[in-house]
Amino acid sequence: MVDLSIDLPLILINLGTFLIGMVLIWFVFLKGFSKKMQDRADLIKNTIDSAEKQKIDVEKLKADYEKQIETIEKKFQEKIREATKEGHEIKNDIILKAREEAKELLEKTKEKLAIEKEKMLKEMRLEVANLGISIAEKVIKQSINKEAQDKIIADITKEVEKN
Amino acid sequence: MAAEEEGIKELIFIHIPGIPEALTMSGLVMIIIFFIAVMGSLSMKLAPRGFQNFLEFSVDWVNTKITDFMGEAGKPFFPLFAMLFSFIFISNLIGLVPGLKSPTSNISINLSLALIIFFATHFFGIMKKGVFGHFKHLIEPRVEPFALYVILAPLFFIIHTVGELVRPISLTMRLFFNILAKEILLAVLAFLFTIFIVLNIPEAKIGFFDISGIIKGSLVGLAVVLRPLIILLGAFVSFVQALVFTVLSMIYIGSALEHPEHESH
Repeated sequence: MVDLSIDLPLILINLGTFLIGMVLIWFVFLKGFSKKMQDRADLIKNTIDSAEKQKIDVEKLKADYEKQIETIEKKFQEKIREATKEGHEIKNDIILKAREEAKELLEKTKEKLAIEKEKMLKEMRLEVANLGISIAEKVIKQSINKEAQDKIIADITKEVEKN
Repeated sequence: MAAEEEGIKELIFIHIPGIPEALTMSGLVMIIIFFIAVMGSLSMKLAPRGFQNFLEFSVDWVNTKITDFMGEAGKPFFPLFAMLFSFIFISNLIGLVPGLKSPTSNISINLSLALIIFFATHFFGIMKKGVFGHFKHLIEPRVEPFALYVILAPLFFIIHTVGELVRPISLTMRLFFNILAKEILLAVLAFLFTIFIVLNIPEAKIGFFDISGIIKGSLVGLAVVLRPLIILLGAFVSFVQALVFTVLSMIYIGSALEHPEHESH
């Protein structure tokens, strides 16, 4: 048969031993152990919180930098645009100036050419006249004198100049 | 069965004259718990390793169970439940060690633990809600009409009082019979092993072939194979019974601490 008898002194002794043991274990071990576990949990939590905060700060800093870079890039683009525009203007000015100068040079050259042409024509007329004279001289050498000759030359010269 | 129990008693190594075996074993369990506690407090490091890991896991596990069954109100009871669980679990386990006996296979030891829970339940319940506040559930639920309630209230009182008084008995008996069954099973297996070894099997033949040696060898082998399996089962039962006792204790104390408005739910 199974022994179901109750031993009251055993119950009381075990009850007392259990309670004393519980108090002892609490003070010897569990209190400090639980506190250390809690401390570590707090430390981990604080570290994670701090890391999270740092992460947020870094993200904020990154956003700031990105914003700054964006601003700088915008400014840079603006400067490039301005410089390009300025360059275009300068280029257009230079081209315009060059065209004007070329035009001026062309006109001057044309004028010079006209003068040269005139000069050459004059010289040519003189040459032609001299040639005519010399021809005429040879032709009429024998019939007219020196005075008549000069008169004829002057007339021819006038005639050439008129033309 | 009595002869087997006598056989069990004869196998127990530690005998202190004048002190019951259950108390000796209970003292041994206390020493083991104290040893574990001292070892744990000596080897505390910020980064846990090895044994400290195991202890921290155990402490955390008990805390989780308290929170699960009692909520935040159960936190101050951590030492009680940690001690209760470790005492019952180690008590159950040492019965698996040859030459030792589970203190929880003694009804008086179990009753002492159940009484601690019984008194703690009512003590903390009264502390929290006052005498009337704590015991008023004995005459609940409030039914209408009032005349019917007056007739039913004594019946409620008797039913609830019996329910309250049965709690420590059920805690005691559940643990006692489970652990006793485990102990008896192990002892019977050890007993059978011894018997099978010394057993003189009569000569048995199939044709010209003698099978008495095979029968004897099979019987001894069966006892040898079954024992580790029963030890494994015993370890599982030890854990489950410690858990059941502790969880029920949490529920009893937790229900006593519940706010009056929550009790009706």
